[in-house]
Amino acid sequence: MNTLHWLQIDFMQKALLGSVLVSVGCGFLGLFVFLRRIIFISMAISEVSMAAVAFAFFMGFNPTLTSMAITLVSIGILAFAQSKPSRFPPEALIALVYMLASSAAILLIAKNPAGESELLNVMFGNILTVHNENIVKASLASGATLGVLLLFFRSFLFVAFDTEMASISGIKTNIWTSLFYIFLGVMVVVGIQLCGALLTFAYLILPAYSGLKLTRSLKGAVVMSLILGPIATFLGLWASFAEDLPSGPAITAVLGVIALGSSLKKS
Amino acid sequence: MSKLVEISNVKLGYKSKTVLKEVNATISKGDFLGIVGPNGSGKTTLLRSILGWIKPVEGTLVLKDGLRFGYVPQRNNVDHLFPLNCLEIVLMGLYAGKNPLERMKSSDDELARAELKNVGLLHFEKELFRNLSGGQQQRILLARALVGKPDILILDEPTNGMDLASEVAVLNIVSEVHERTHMTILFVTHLLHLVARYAKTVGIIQDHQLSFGETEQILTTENLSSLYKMKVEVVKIQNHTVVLMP
Repeated sequence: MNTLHWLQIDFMQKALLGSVLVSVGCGFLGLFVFLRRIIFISMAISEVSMAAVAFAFFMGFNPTLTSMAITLVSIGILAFAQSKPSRFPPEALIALVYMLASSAAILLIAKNPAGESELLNVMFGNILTVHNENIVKASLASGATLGVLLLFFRSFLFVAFDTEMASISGIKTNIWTSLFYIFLGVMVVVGIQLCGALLTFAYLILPAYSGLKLTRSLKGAVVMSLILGPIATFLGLWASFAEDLPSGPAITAVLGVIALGSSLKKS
Repeated sequence: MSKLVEISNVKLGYKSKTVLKEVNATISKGDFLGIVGPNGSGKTTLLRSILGWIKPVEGTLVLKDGLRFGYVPQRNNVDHLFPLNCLEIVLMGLYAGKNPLERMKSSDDELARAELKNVGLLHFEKELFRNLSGGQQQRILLARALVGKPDILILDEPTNGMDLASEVAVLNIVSEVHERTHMTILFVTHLLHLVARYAKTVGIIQDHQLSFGETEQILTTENLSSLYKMKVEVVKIQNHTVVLMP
């Protein structure tokens, strides 16, 4: 049998296209997540986004809009809290939000009168049930993220690298920082609904980590963060089809193996 | 001399805590000003207020219109995760003068290279910033601060954690730039020997108050002994002011 036979199947094509779109947007954003050292903020907001979907179902609200609003507000609070000096490590608040959001999501699912199955799909994503609507959302979110971050790369980079100097130079650091967090929030919401929290978080962190380990230049890291996600998606979906494995964890495992291999390289 | 910064009856602080009070000072074009004081005395708070990050609780702080700052941060405030080479770091000093959509030109690279040459590190232009020694990194950050041709160069504890040779290398470059271009320099440090050697005017912070004067008027045995509550002696050796702790 042709080993690429799976590429001719409609739901696999949609799974591949949707996941690649999310991986590209998250991969590029992930580089800044890494450079800004806010890895755990992105993990916490993934959980908040899931809890927000559960809340929307419970209340009968639109899940995408509700999730988007709650995620963006939460990300703003976490980012603000992290920027303020405190006696406590910033991870304390992030952990609190993570645990509250996780427990809220489970409790809301348990009490959801509409039943668990569809809600679980929306919250945890199922790559193999990607709809055209998900692909449109992922195209818009990923396209806007890539377009704006590439077009204004210099400003985003300067603000992430040295906010103080950028501010002294007259650059509106609040605007660039807010824009970055808005794109991060939108991409997380869209990613989670398409492929789940685990894979979205993996797309955010692992290609960027591998890129920063494997290359010695920022350009190299950008290229790697953009291409490793799609490569892992292709290999993971192939393995999941051939071996009848769950797709999201299969892609995450490929990304993990690449990252593990990269970590062996001396910085 | 034209006034660049005018501080009148300023009180600085956070919430209910007063850090500095009754601050009156003028920074004029061509000044070479060093500010000293014990740890926690408010040196950095004063810098931050001049840079506009902290608003005075009372009083007025007026900057000349269009004043451009060059800023050299404490070296350990710069993140080493970024895979940026030295030329890329220095080029950042030109970003503010560009439209965010405007591309960097080869003439910008030449300006950055000229500044790298000024700090003696042109041969490191392609080297990753994080691979340099502490003293070299600080010279790169100095080049970044200078490349935009600022009106005032501000240095916050510029030689923290450096050996003597690196300290002297950084401050010699600053001094040479001042002599050559009459650029206004403002640096804060807790290292008295640096202020004694390089600054022309000294600000000393004691009991929440800032006193200004010529280096020789301010750095006296009485003032420093009172400031640090220990015996400090100020002597002249070969026409240089030297601070001793016998």
